[in-house]
Amino acid sequence: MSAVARSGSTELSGGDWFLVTLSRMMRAAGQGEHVGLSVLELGPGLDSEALRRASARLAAVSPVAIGRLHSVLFGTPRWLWRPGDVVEFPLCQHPPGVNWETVASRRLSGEVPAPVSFDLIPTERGAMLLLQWRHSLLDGRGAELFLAEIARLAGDPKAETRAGSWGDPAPRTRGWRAVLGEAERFKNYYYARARLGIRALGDARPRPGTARFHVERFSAAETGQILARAAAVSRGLFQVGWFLAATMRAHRRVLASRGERAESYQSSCAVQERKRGARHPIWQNHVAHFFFGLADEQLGELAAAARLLQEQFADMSRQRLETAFAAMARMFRHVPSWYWLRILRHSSGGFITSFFFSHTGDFLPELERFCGAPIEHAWHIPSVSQPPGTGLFFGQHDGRLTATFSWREGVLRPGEFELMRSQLREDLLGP
Amino acid sequence: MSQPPAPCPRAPSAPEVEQLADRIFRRIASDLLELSAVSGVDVDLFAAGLDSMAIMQIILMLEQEFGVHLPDVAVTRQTFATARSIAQAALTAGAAP
Repeated sequence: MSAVARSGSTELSGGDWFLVTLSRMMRAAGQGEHVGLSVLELGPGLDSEALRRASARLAAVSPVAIGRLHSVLFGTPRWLWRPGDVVEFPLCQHPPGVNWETVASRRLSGEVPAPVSFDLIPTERGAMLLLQWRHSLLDGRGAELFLAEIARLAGDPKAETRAGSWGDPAPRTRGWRAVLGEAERFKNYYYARARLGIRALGDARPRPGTARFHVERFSAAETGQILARAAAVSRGLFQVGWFLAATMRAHRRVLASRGERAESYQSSCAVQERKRGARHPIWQNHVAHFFFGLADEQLGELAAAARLLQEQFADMSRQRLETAFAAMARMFRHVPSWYWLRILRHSSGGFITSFFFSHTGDFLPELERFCGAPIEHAWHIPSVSQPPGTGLFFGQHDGRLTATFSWREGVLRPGEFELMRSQLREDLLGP
Repeated sequence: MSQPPAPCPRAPSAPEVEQLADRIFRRIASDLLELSAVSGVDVDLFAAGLDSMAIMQIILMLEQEFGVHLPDVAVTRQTFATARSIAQAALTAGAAP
């Protein structure tokens, strides 16, 4: 536990404000906090005291972790902290035999002791470590960097803690004229290609519902097979299109089982703004977004759909749409979140998007051990808002792919999760 | 009248590769990847975090700054393994050293 010595504040990033906006919608609808979980499956040897000490040292230089939102109409919202504020990342140690998925469900449904906290659950082989994080404070990559920093501090008790681990990782478009130009560029691109008639599996109107999830773990052999199939389309380099096409088709299969059909499917994909390999900043959301869309008839064949999405990726990269998006998202920090949400929903028939999607790549490939224990596997479980009600999130650790299905209770009808899962497995692994 | 035969592609010399690889490495280190001062033109870029977004940005950089369009067959994992292999591919595709 550490008390803040001096007051301070930092501007919310565009991504932070977007997540605050979504969180407000979720809370108002009875969906709880918008949180994410990062899960480490550990072998034997975890030094939980070293974890506690390292966690306390990181907390001492991370007042932003308990930052309170301060916003004024048309001003820039800020995370604010004051002297005496207590920063702590609580560690809850569970008895052996507790099911980690039950604990994860509780955390995802908003039963959280602090903005960032740990759960440690002993297993026969070692332990499951759950890191719970409030999404408006951290993104998936930030959660990985948080774990890496804890591991570094635990490995060397004399290592210097790095203060100020927040703020912008990249130069920004400055000046209103330039920002407006970038926002206009993004808006023109989006509306020229926005897909009409999108549907999500949940209602367009927010409804209460607890968070549900399933982590599909592929073996090394299966992962090799999946990547080889993807490489036949993408030459092994641009695989996001392949996974996104499979995600669209899995949702299409469920809609078809309901006797329904969306005219098209649309989803964003996060683009990291941190340099690859960077250790900082840990805190705040540093992602821009690319927007992908395909008409229903373009999803008949997986490889063809993946190629079309790959072309969209190349087109957006050429136009540097991520910088245009980032400028627009930062501009929207100056409008009230209810208005931001209204724009998001208005342009998508209320659904916001067909579903949420990401592929976060390798989970900390450079980190083999965590506080004395070998990391045997690792994945993320983000909760999702409804609308749209579902999300599919891919990642990899030590040559093994994971696909996390995340949804809100009531969005999937009986049997629909199995349908979605079997379609995904069939597309990824082949018939 | 028949077309004159296309000139045979000339294999780039070692100093040409070295020079271009160094320029490419410095651009990647300044804008795309967190690379330490000790790493150089032979550092494994995938191990340093190179992903599809960064590869696309390298392709655009080669087009915009070096005036070279990599042919589709050259867009492979081997090409982007190191700054040296990128330089080799760029020179083969017609980049000025």
